[in-house]
Amino acid sequence: MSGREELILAIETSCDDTAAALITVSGEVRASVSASQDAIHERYGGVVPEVASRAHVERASVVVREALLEAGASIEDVGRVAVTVGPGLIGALLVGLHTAKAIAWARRLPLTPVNHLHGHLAAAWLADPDAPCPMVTLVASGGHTLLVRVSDRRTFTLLGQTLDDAAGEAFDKGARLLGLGYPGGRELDLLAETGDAHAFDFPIGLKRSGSLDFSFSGVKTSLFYLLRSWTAEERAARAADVAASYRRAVVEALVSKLLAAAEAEGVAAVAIAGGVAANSLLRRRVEREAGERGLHVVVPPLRFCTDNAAMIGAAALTGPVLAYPDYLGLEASASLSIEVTPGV
Amino acid sequence: MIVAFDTSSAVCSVAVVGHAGDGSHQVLAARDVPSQADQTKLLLGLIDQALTEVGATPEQVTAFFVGTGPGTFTGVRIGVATARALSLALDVPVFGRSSLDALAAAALMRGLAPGEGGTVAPDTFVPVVDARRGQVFATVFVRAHGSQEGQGRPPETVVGSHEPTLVDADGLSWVRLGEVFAADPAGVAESVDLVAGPGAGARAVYLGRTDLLPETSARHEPGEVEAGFLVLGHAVALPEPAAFRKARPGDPGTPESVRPIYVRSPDADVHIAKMRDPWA
Ligand SMILES: [Zn+2]
Repeated sequence: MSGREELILAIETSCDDTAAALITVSGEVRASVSASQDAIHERYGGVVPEVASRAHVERASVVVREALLEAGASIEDVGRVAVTVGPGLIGALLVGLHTAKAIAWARRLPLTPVNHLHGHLAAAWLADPDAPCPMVTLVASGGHTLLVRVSDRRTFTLLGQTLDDAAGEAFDKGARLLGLGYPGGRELDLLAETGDAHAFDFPIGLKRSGSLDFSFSGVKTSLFYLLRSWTAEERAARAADVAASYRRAVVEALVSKLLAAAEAEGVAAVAIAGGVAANSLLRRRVEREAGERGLHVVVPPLRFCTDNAAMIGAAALTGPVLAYPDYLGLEASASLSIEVTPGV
Repeated sequence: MIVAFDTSSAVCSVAVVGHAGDGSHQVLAARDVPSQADQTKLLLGLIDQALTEVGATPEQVTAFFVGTGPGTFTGVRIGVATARALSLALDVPVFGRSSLDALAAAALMRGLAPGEGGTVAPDTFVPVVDARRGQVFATVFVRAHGSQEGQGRPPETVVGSHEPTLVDADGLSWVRLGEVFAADPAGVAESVDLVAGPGAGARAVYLGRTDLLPETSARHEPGEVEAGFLVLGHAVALPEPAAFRKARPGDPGTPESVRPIYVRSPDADVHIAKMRDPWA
């Protein structure tokens, strides 16, 4: 190592981004490389698992090499490997897992298996190393929508979650009904910026239930029936207002439950994470409304919100360290609860 | 020292092969474990065991060989992802080989032909693996030239003679014709006819998952080619000993040069139009 700080090589392939990162043991990101598959999945209008898995195989070794180049490091500088083992698409996870295990085995390095959701939570301290715990974090993406109490950097409690669709899924499905491009959530967000958010009143799921759970199937169904009653021309003409109103309903549910959870838990800080944390209305509203309540607010930069490997490396800093050969038989898990720390 | 493995099919197969400067080589350790969906648990542990058995460390490996399918999509990916990463981590070359070629080579090495008791070497032989969905993946090898009168073809008339050539212990050689195909068991002989000429399908000797083929096929029982029928370490040893010292022309041995053989397209089951336009 010749005086250089030891690096953790982190690999993430749980969905449709092939990512590798190098992070120091003190939490400094030296490189974070991600090969997005958006252009591949665009033609299908969604992520096709087999297509995603094939793309991961093509790219996994490439992103690892690019991360080393970006960090000006060589494989000899890597002292530990970290990898996402779930939750996610099983075929996709397996590509990253085998890449990570092979590198660790070849160099006799220890390995840390990481819960993908813990990675999203760790994005908060990548963005803000002084973020105070306990905090409440909203993780919202195309696959997940949950509220988590982060008591410290390795103790997580599920407070609420979606009972049906994920928030990102609601955005993507809405975008598809509106005939927008892919990925739909981003397109819908852009269009919504130009529309009247109060033109339509979409239902806000579980608004008055008092629980911290979410439901997005109602808002999606309302959108479907509204658009079905219109001609294609009417849909096109009112798309911006519809997008803005739809986005308002989804974001309202996310923000109000995040703030309610923070109050119920008596925490002084909140954070958002996951691909939906890239939504511009969500970012604005959380920053303003949590700030008004005197809460410390962590809104990570976009590159740490969408799936990335730096967050996996950050989560590995507080994860278990499996020595050679204890990880050789390690498996991936498509469904892994946020309260499970793999390898423990 | 070579480490070779194949996870594309129903056996997780690993071999450590030693080689000398004169091109000779020998299998030092091998592991063949029947597996269904548990290659994830098995593969690196088996490689680790085999290498430990010969008292070697990863740094002593000079090249990796991997079976790149066809087989199960996930199994193929586990092998290829592992091979690419090993090459990257140790900075040694990695070579991908068709698992069907490996099966054919392993069978020849074990004396498929001419065989004991003077069995005639087959003009055509066809390794098959399970392709699921009621099909098999297969490829066709035909004899390029040989000692039996009238059975061989002169090498220059062999279509695609740049394809891998297998040579058995008696110097007989076979050339792979055409690409890997997927066919239902009843249609395999017809497919072989298309590639190798009329009647070839009926005369061919089938290898591998012959239990999936109709009873009428001329075939070797799976048991005749040991249980671990995809022993890639053995397989690469036979057809191309030179590969231990240098790559094939045009084969750079880099991680990205190892490509999976899927045969089937990834979106066979996806209704693209429906996904794209909900109002259509
Ligand atoms: Zn994610």
